[in-house]
Order: sequence, then structure tokens, then C-alpha cells
Amino acid sequence: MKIIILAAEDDNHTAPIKWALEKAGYTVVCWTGLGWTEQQQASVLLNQDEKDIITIGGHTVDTGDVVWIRRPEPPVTNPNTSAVDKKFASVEYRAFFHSTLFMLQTLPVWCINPFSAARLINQKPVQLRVARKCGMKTPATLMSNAPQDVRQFFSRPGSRNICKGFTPHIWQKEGFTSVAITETFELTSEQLPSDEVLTYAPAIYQERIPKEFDVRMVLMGNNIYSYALNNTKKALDWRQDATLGHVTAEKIETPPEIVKSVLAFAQQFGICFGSLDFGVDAHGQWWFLEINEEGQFLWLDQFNREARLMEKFCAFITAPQGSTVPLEDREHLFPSLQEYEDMPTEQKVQPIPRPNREEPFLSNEA
Amino acid sequence: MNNNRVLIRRGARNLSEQEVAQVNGGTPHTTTACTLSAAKTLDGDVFLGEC
Repeated sequence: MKIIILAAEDDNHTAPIKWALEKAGYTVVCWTGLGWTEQQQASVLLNQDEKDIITIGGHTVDTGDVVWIRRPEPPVTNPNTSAVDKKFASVEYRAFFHSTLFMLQTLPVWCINPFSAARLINQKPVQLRVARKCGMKTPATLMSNAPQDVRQFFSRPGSRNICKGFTPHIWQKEGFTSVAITETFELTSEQLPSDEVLTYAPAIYQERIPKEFDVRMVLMGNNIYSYALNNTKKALDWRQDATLGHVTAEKIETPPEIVKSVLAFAQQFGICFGSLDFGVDAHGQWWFLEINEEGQFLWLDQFNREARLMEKFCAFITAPQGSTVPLEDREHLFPSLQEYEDMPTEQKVQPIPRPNREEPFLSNEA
Repeated sequence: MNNNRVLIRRGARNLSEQEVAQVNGGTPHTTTACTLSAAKTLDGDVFLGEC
């Protein structure tokens, strides 16, 4: 059995986890995603005898392999492609890339997570709806670009609301180091812009939960680990303050009814791994906010060295699929994130240069 | 700010110098914040690649 990570080797989670798995004796290979170079090429061979073969980055996907679809990068076409063929080639690359990822989940391998499940669960309205159906409390939410619907949502008596985007984005001032980054912010009906502006980009408008603290939960199979995030600056969105170390992560017990709901939620989508966000109000009620099935989780090890989520994750993906053996029983087999961080820089994976391309998440401002 | 900007941009937060230094830092970040890594990939919770 080998572990195939679909991500670049310098991905912030791939690098330390690959190192930890290899230290424990496992075979790990990475595939950045489909591209024209030899390391990024792929083949899907469908035979008459049903012995179908997928090869990615020169590695054959074998029965019993674990495929962690961490963060494959968008396909990279050959720069020498004729200018008049570039658009066609780009669409073909994208189609083949998706075909390959979908094919993986039809093979006798363990995909974390199956690509089809990942694509579905990453849709914000779907995850909120299914969370509610599975018994979790969810805030009233409107996702819209229709001005009248937005204004009506904000006219609910006594409501306090927040606004956030579907995706993160960065605006960088040309010639300056200053950067603006998307963040959840409170918004009143008086602050709503013109109807015209509301149509410039859809957004998520949501009832503001009077939360006492946030919870980041990490799901690994049937194992659930919850951490209370105490944001010393009491910011609405703890993510940015986490960057500066203004957040503490304290392990807390997950209420049994939330465990039951989360496991039902995961089963309904067909996922086995993910990072979930909750807000906990003054009554101790947990409000489901969102799930990122490939969300970041190693930062919890940095904020709470007892968490040992890296070791737990290594134990998780090296155990048989569906194993009920506690991850804590095997986590000692793997080194910690702290050990990786303590290594000299030159021994760690260095940033890999990328071809210049227009990143969808980055805009330059004049 | 220009009144013609998208609403989300109006609510975006300007990063402090310390945060910008991290954005442009030389080592891959492991925090969950939405930042650019030195390799100019987005380090955030949301998987923007091929979803």
C-alpha cells in the first residue's frame, strides 16, 4: 500500500505529513495535478478484462492505495501549444483532469475524500441544508445577487447580520506591499450599497450568531476532535487573528448530539475527513457555520501542542478504511509537527516555483 | 473607496505590516488564515483548485 497525495510537495500540510509518514516507513508519492511535464502527466487505460489502470505522475494507482485529494492544482497546458489551440487544449486538460479524479473513486482505493463528495460538500448552501437536516442548528442565510431579496433579508425585525464571500480573495495595491483580504464583516440595512452594487457579485448574508466562542472541529472517520478558539481580540472572524497568534485552541468535549449529527452529515455526503466550524452561544448551543473538507488543521498543533493532529491524521490514513481502532493507539508511530518545524530549513521542502499565470484569488488595484 | 466596488471588497480587511510580512514570508504557513504563501498559492481553508 502506498499513499498518494494529490498536492504539490510544498503544500503546507503535504510537506510535514509526507515527511512524517516516510519517517514511519510508509511509501508516499505526490502528484501536483495534471500538467504537460512528465511529472504531471496522467493516463487512464480501460481494458477489456476490467483491469483498468490509472497512472498519475508516473505512479500506478494500485489496489489498496490511499489517495488523499489534498489540493491538486489546476491543469497546466504546454506553453508551446499553438495560440489558436490554447483554449481547446485548456478545456481538454480540465475535462481529463476531472475524469481522472472521478475515476479514482471507482477503483479499489480509499479516497480521502471521494472527488464527487468533495465537489458537492463544498457548496455552501448544500452543506447548511444537510447540516440542518442532520439535526444541527444553522443560522438564517441568504445567498443572493438579487437586491430586493437582500433588502428583505435585512429587514427581518431585530436581526443582526454578517456578510461574507463564497471564496477568499486578495487585493494587492500595485507597487505597494499593502494587501486587503476578504473577511466576514457585520452589515446593517443602512450600510447596504445601491442595488447596482449588490449585483456586482453575489454574497452570503447570514444571521449573526451571538457566539461566546468559536469551535474548530476536525473529523477523521468516526473520530471527532473539537477545539474552542478563544479569540483575545474578539474579532468576528478568528481566521485572520490566528495568523498573528491572537487565538488559543483548547480541546473541548463535543456534545453527544453534535457527534451524532456530524457523523450522519459526513455519511450523507460520503466524506470521512474535514474541518468544521461552529459558533457556541451563551446557552451552550452549537451552531454549524461551515465545513471545508480540505480545510487547514495543522495550525491547531501549533496553537495546542497536545492536539497532535498530525500524528492522528497519519494514523488515520494508514489504518484500514473504516477502522474503529482509536487513532490515539497508533499516533505514537509518527513524529510530530514540532519535530518537523525544528528541522533546519534546508532539510524541509522549499517553495516550488510556479509558472506565471493569472490567479483567480488575486487582484491588483491601481 | 470607490462606490463602484463589490460589497465584499468594502468589508475586506487591510492587513497590518506584520501580516503582510507573513504573506510574503519565506516558509509555508500552516495557519488557517487566508494568505499567500511564498510559492504564491493560497493558504486557506477553501480549496480553490479544481472544485
